[in-house]
Amino acid sequence: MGIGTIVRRVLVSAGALALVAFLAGYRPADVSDGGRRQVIQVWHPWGGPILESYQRGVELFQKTHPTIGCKLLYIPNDLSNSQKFYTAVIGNCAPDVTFVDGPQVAEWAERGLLTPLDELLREAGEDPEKLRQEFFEPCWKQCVYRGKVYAITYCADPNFCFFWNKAAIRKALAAGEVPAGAVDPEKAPATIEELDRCNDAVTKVRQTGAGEQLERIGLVPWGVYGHANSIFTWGWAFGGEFYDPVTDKITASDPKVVKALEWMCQYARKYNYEHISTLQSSFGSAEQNPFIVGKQVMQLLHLSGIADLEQYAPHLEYGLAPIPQPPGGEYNSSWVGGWTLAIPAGVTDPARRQAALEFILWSCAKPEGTTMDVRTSRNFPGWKPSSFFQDAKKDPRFAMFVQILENCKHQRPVMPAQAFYMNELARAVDKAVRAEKKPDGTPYTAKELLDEATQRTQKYLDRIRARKPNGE
Amino acid sequence: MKPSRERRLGLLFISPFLIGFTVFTIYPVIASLYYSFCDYDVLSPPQFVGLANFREMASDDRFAKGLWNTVVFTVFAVPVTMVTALVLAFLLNMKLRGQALYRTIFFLPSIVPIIASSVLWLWLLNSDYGLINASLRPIMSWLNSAFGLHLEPPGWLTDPDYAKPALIMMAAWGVGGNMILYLAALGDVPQQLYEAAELDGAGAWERARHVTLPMISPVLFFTLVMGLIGSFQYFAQPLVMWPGGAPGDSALFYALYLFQNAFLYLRMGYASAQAWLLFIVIVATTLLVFRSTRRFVYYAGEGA
Amino acid sequence: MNTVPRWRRIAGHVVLIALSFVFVMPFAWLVTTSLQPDTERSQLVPALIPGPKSFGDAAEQATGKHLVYQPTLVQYEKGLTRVPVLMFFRNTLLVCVLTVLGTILSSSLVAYGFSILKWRGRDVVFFVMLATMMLPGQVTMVPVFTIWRKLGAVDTYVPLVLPAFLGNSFFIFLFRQFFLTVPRELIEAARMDGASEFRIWARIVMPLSVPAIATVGLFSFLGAWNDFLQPLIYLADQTKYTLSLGLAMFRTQYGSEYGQMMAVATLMVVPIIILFFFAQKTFIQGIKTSGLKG
Repeated sequence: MGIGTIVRRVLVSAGALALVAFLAGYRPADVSDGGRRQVIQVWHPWGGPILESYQRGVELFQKTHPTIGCKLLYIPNDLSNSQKFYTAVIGNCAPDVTFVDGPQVAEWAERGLLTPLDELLREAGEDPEKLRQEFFEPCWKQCVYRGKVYAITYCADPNFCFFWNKAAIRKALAAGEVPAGAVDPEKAPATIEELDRCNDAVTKVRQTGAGEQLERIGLVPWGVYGHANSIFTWGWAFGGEFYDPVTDKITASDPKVVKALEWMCQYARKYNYEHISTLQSSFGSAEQNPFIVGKQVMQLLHLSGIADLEQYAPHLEYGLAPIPQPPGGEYNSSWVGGWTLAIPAGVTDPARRQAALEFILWSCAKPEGTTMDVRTSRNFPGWKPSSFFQDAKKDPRFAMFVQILENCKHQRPVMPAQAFYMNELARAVDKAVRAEKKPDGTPYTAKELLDEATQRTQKYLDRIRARKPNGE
Repeated sequence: MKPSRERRLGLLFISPFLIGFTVFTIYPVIASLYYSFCDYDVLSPPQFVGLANFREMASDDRFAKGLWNTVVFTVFAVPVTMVTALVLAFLLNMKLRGQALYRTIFFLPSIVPIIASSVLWLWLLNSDYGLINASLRPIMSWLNSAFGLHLEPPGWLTDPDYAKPALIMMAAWGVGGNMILYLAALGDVPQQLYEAAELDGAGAWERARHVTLPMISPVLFFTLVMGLIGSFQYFAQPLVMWPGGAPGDSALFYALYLFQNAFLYLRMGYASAQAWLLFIVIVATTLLVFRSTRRFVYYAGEGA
Repeated sequence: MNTVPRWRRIAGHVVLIALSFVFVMPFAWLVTTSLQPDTERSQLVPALIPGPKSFGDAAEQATGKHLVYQPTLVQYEKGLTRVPVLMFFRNTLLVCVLTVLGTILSSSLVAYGFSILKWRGRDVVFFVMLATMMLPGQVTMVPVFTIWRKLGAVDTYVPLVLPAFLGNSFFIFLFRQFFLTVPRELIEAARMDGASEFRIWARIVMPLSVPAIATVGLFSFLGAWNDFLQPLIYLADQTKYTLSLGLAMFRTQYGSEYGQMMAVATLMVVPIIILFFFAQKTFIQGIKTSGLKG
């Protein structure tokens, strides 16, 4: 075959592909920005079941703000989003508005990646102090760093709610697998003690020719959206604290946090860590959840758990309750996560800033931007006056989450070593529940592991503090 | 041809590379080398700290863990994937009926997006209801009762000792690319060589050893070098499988920790220092491979 | 090769069929997931057998009937309307075609300079080129981005496509390995006839390397087709996004449309499989052998 033939073939295939490309070239009606005086670029993480309603919300904003146009850009929520964000800020082509994960606000503010909003708020005629009072306290706190407001909370995740599979418990009772009276399928355990009893009653092990298998378990204390979030959840429920903002000290070795971790380890020993984790390592997606099939009858779930269960198991019968706590712990304990909206550093044009802030305020702290319609039930606002909550309370399941949010006292530590801290905590939990051994052959104690996490994070935090703060 | 002319021509032919190298490589490489001696958080100007980053590595247990995991993975995954691909290529080179279909099937894992295949693996590897342990359990059960053993199917996703074997298994399954390369090379082996060897009374094994392998050695060499470079920088698959990290940091790979430092902890200086150390390790290994395999790699064009 | 004995052919088929099951799984999984409604996937062992069935209750799960599912196209309908898949498809195709053309052209030329031509310092430069692959990209990403930004190329396809025209180290190395096996006498003979080096590249080396060209084409196509990070970082306009980014749009922190994602992933994979099935002869046709004979 000569080169002529190759060239011909290449040309023919290129032509064919070009044709296909041409045929495929249709443009759908996107959120239009035609003819607007001020077009702002907005980076957001909303895909999947939230995508449509989010776009609808932005359309609504444009309708009521004829001078401002929004250009939306979807940025996936994983480590790649920081790559995109940092390169853009350094390359001086950051968007006008971006979503920032709550615990990242302090980290990014410290590195000068975000624009402080206080001045802008005042210019726009908003009183930051009044705004603060209108937000759930932890939602506002997570956005304030070194006395300045760097973001506004867009959604408040009340983390977490206790879910239990009523049908599965009832079935186990009927089959005589659980002693009658040991567990009430209609009532959630209110204390850790009750929870422990409940777990003992529902756990069922099956012997096979090759080892044991867990047939059914109760709650997995470390299976709460990752190890770090698990220890946050139980640490606070046990009455502990993780960080002291006054002294800028990491406090993971707080005796109450240590107690929480020790309690988690008890479960790992009693029911065998290996076997439990197996059930936890499901397919990494909501629908193949061991909770749905009744293999794990109790679970802490995020607000979106309700919609997930609706989507994948519409007939499942389950109940919701605040998470249980030990004596001396915190009743109705929870903490908020969730996304915030911020203006990246480098947006200097006053008109753009103004438009960006207008969009942020509308999305986070105005009646029209916080309705259930533009957010879906998966996304609670952090702004108390929103009509969202009246609508949510009509459904007892959402009402439970509203109650939890109203009682919420915590947010993850607002300091620039947050990601590092979470990784250290995750490591401590991992080592603790697996009973990893020291060089001398004895397992690490919960205290030792949390001490290590505290020291390492403190050292890292101190090093950040020793640097000259950005731009000062 | 005069040497000077051939050199000019050589430079002319490689000029696309030279342009790309000058415009897009030199500055970023030098910049990252400089950052490796700095405390640098990406946005504020780098502050020179001398060898501090390199000293920190020496006492960073997570760095050590990442290095160890990466070396273990590389030592096993590179040969395992090469042998698997070679076996598949030999099987397909038998030119059986339906080979077009077989070839397509063996290439499938390399086409399916990682997002889909990793979900599949999470199921396959699940120690309770996954397919792998479901097939192991009866075998072990039988062995246990027959020989009084106490075998249990492994916790692929939950036991730190099994995370890397699981990843190596997955790597062996995604060898479609290498398989295609070997097939392409096998197709180039002149038929006369086989015929000559057969006349000399060489059996199948001797033909493979003395004809086939030398003739495809340039491609074997390529996959070895690229396999090394790739597995030293490996981290995408474990990140998808264990988004929160595998138990006991058993799937914390060098490049993943580097990545976390660069974009999660905003320690670009420390990440750059790690990158340069890794660079030196890979360069040294590759040079060693180039030197030590020189006499095994047979280039038909050069040898003639 | 009809000399292979019958028993070995049968044994070969047995082994190949057994292996096929292992290798066909990801695709089978992908397709079945895409054909199931959301409510049917909430079980621990996936249903892999299409067939008529009612919603699986616990009793059915115990008898194994839950392994059967009733195929539906609902995920495709929803998936294709939720995310502008066709637009992303066109964008991806554009990037892929240009990448493949650029890679084949430039990498083979550069490889020619590193293999057929002999010049002092060649192997050192070649190793430097290989070394560019050995420094992890995470630490050069920011400076590289700033260069593209200064060139005004951010939010265009140029940073995704232009590098392919400047030679890709991986493919240069691959081409070099194949070029080094081209019989030297053919090249010397052409030089005797007064052919220019460019002509030898076009008339002798390239035609003898069709399997290599096809392989490079396939690999560079797949690379561009599945690339996620580069399009994400360089594109700032959603109408320019590629399919791999579109695929990510089915997920968010507070919920996923997994079935729809699998439907779109299936649509992404099927054309490649068909293309591969029909083009695969090219990979293995062994031109050099016949070339020598001729």
